[in-house]
Amino acid sequence: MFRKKNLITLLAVFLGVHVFAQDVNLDSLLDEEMDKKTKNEVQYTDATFKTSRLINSHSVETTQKGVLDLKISHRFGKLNEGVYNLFGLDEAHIRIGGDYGISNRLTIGGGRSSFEKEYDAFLKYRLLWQSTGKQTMPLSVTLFASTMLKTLKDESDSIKRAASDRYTFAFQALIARKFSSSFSMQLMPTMVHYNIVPTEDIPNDLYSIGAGARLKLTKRSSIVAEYYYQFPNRKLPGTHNSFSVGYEIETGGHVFQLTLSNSTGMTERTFINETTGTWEAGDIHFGFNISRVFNVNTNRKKLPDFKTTDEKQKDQPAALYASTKKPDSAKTHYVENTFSGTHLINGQSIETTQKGLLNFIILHRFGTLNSGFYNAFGLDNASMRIGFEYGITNRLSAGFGRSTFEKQYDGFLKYRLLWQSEGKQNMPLSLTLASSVILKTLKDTAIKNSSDRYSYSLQTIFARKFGRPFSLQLMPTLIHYNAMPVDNISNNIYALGAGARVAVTQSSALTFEYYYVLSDPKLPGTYNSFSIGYEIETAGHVFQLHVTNSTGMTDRTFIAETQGRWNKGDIHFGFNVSRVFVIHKAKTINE
Amino acid sequence: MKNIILLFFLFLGSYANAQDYLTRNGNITFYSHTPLEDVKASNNEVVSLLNTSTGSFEFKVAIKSFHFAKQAMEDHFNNSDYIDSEKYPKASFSGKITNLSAVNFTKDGTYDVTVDGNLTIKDVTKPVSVKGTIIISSGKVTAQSVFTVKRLDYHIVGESFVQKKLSDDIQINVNCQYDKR
Repeated sequence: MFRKKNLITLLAVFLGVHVFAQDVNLDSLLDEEMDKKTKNEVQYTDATFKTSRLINSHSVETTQKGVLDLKISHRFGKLNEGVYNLFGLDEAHIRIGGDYGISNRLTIGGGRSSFEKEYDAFLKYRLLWQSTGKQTMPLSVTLFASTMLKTLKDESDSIKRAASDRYTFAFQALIARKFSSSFSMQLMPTMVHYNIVPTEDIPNDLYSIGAGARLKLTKRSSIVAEYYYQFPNRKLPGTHNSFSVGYEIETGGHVFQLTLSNSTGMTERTFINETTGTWEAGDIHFGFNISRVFNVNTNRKKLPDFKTTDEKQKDQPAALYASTKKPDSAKTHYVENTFSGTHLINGQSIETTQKGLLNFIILHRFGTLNSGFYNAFGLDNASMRIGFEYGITNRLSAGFGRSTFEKQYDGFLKYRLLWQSEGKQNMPLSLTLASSVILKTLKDTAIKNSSDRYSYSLQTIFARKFGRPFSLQLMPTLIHYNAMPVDNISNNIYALGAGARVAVTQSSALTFEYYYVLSDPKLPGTYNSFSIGYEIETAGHVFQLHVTNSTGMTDRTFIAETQGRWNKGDIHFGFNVSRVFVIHKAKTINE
Repeated sequence: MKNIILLFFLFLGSYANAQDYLTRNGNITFYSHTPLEDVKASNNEVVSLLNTSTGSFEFKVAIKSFHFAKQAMEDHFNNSDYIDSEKYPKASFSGKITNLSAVNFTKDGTYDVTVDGNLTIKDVTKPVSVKGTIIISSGKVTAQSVFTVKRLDYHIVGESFVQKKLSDDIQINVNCQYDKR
């Protein structure tokens, strides 16, 4: 029989033990669950490389299922081409292509290169995926196969070629390992098969081995390098091994790479086996790769739609046109963003660059659409202006640029004399004075004096912003030529330009630009410039796509010397990109 | 004798009332809406404990278990600009049901509750008061709630150019099914 005292003790102990048993440490429970998950699941290594390309080569990375990865690759000419050709900037080779993820392991893709007018198509399969956890795999292995078709017509070729002669095939096993979050390495044993080779003693199957690596520098940038060693007796005569280095930046949905390479081409055949340049001789091409992912058909589990009815109403287009709150009359409120950038399409807009900011602008025009399928409707031809504009004050900007077209240099000053404002001071319009000097450096035996190469432009730009959806601008313009190519035309050409911007969504708009040359006669064979653009504003950039009949991008070339006609199909597709850098922080016009 | 009976009832009493309900795979989803972009992520590995006698509610989540439809978005979310999951791998909530007497855990039904407590994200703790529902059905307890937090309170900032794409108010949706422990 239990003693009373013992029974009490026993019950007390049970009570005590039971109370302790209630305490659960959620922290350790969560850790336990996470550990279990780690051990029971396979952790696939992600981001061995930031994108599916190393520099020219493919990396082990395949495209996520349902995602389209748009690739634009660009190689300029060689650095050793000297200052006249701006160290190769006047020459351009591009590849436009896309990679699509059929599954997370299988990617299909293709593209077209302007270099040798080559089409390529490929398949990529990630056979092995580096992993930890339930299953460990030390490496990733992706199998790659591509076919390349060179369509460039060789006029000097006397032998009749079969269509199959133009095809080449490449096979690679991409083997990579991610050693840490900051370092990955890859090996690329390669075989490129030529359907036809120049001489009998060259084998049709050319073997090489490539090696590449990636080293992370900051959380968003890294350096990458790749090198291909061609086996002797398995290479084309006069070719050199390809070596490329790159600096990679990842931001938003883009991966952007700046590259240096002795290879001109961007397909396996052209860069692995047909590199004719060497680093020692300075045959170095500067270039860049842009990669942008679009979710076409992601199959990830659909998350519930949380939008409340209030939010759904907010999205209505009416919000776009909603009047902004009335500014108080004690302060002058200056109207900002009449146009989204300092350029409308080809020409200047009313806007000046904000004080302390450096605006880096790239204007690009392809060839004309009527150049046909062989020339990919103008894609193989490029005309480009790179420029800078700096805000000295909020009203005064100075800029400088260089165009590949006629190898022009231009410099300009812009002063915003009047600024549309509401509140204490009411100003219905903005007025900007813009003047530029343009120097044409393209060698031309017809030009006698160096001063003949100069021309000047002067514009008084008027603009008004009619609320968020609509802005209008008028550009009376004078262009003065130091020397006119023909005698009976005055050295001063007058024109009147008109431009408009119509908002489409919160961050995009349509733009229009038309210049009517008032001088009669105009320069022979020239027509009025008309352009239509679509611009998107995102993350520090303004990106614009447009169509225009003008080739040049300086006031002289596009206003007075447009030789194309819309109704003849002389339409250039083009784009403008601008990126703002803060040099020193200063107050904006309204601060 | 009196002491024995007292202890015995204490023992029984505590045994009957102190029911813990636990889940290891609760769901918490968060959502940000702006006209420019929607950001949604879901976590199905929420660990939570509900004590029916004290009304205490505890949640712990592993940040890396929040999954997005776009892998790139998930990578950015975990980055040090946003939630910095390397430095702060967990978030938690610890609170109490204020109207505990309104809930009868032994009877099937739907009960509206208010839970007051502290929410900790990125080592920042803020008091929150949340309205939710507790559903009792055949011995299982389901807790649901929808509430909003201000992300800037917890230093979830992001880069300057994404501010227009991220709402300051983040909607959090809780849906956990508990079993008796």
